[in-house]
Amino acid sequence: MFIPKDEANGRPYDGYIVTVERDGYNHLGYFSPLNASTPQYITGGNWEVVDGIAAFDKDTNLVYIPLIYLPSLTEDTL
Amino acid sequence: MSTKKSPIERHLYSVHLTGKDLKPLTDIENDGWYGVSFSPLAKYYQLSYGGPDIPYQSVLSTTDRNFNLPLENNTQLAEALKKYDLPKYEYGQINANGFTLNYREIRPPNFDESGNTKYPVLFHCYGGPVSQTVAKRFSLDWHRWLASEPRLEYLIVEVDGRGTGFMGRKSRVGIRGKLGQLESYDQAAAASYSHYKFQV
Repeated sequence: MFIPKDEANGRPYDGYIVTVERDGYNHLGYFSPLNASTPQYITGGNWEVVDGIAAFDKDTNLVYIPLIYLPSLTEDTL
Repeated sequence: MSTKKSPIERHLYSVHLTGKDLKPLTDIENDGWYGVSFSPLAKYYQLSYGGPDIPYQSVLSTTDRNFNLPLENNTQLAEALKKYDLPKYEYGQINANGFTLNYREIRPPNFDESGNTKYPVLFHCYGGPVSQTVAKRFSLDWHRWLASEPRLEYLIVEVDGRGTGFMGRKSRVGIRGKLGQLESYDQAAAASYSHYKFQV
């Protein structure tokens, strides 16, 4: 998903979010600027995102994602 | 609630672009299999609860917690199902060939857990690449009928072995170049486990 540039909102360059592999699990990576060769990871840990990104709110910088459910998700990640 | 990690539910989360502040939007205290479709500006979303209880669909808002527009509650379905004894489910994990695998038993409604009653056991196998059979999702199908029909009372076992999805790369990719082989080993390992568990 394309993430438009918005300097006032902490996004100095255009970018995009895609599913990338991180330590053997599918996670979300944010590539910005568009020609960045490595992602800034948005998620990580021993679990997977299932269907990429569902939505991005360009006002709040919030990313909405459907995930597999892990009771300990917030404790052992990020 | 199990503290073991398992991919048999689907919930909706939000996270800041920086990776901070991961928060659930769905009720993670209860089992759920949710699907979602957002409006272009991400202020509204259609949430589809797919089970394990009666499915429903609503439109909710990311900015107003009180906004809730129900689209479908399936009340007729809920009413109709009250007339039937539906199967019971048992979820768990087994260790097979070095991997932790999810399984589900679909049990007859009045299943005798004492071990005194012998039940015919059927394995429902699929196991295609990046598939998932074991899921906390509403379903009424042939296998549930086999379990709940009083003249049959089969015990159905489903196992997601190697090659199925959502458990990481290691368990997903081992089947490459030998499709069907590891899948069979894992079903066999699960069957052997069941043999001791149920003494069939």
